[in-house]
Amino acid sequence: VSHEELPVAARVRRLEERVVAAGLTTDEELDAILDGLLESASPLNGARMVARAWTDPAYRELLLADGNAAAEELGMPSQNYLLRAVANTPERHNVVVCTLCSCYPIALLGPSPGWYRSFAYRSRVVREPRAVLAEFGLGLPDDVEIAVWDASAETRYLVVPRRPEGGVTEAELAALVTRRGLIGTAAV
Amino acid sequence: VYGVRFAARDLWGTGSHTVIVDLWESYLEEAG
Repeated sequence: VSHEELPVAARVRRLEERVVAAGLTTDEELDAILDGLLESASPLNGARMVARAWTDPAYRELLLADGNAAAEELGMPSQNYLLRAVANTPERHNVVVCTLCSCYPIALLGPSPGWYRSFAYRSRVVREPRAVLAEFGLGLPDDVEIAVWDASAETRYLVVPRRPEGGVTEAELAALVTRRGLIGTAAV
Repeated sequence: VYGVRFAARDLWGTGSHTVIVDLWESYLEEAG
């Protein structure tokens, strides 16, 4: 079921119509708010945070302890939820899902991919993450534990992949980080 | 809100991974 078909989508549309009809706002104003949000929303933001964490141990510590403060330190758009960063290690791989809908730190990862919102991903990755990750091309050894983090409106997650080979400067390292890596369905 | 870690085996009866979910305090009962 796509989001557009859900009852909540129809309720949101009716609410929009009512606030516009009541003269509280306009379609143009609502579009401008959405455009502003999406304009600055990019996986490059999350990639910058990860690259900084790879090169600056103090920043890594801050990121893992207080994701919101770490985002703010790099001048990222403010978050109205608890941002929690979870770091991959040789022993543990993290992957993020929102089983209820599609909660996700849009400002740091850009608009969510279709598969992230799909029922198949949301229902399967909590039950058989190893198989799902293998389908994404990420085969993990059996001795690597997988932690599945179920996001909510209150708490959203950012995966800190393991630092790959290559890249020297922070910008070069940031260019290696993908949106899938930040969700946990790719190694980086 | 608490982040609660479950072993997949306890949730689904199978699997070696863990699942961490947000649970509001009202959903939790004191153990023992």
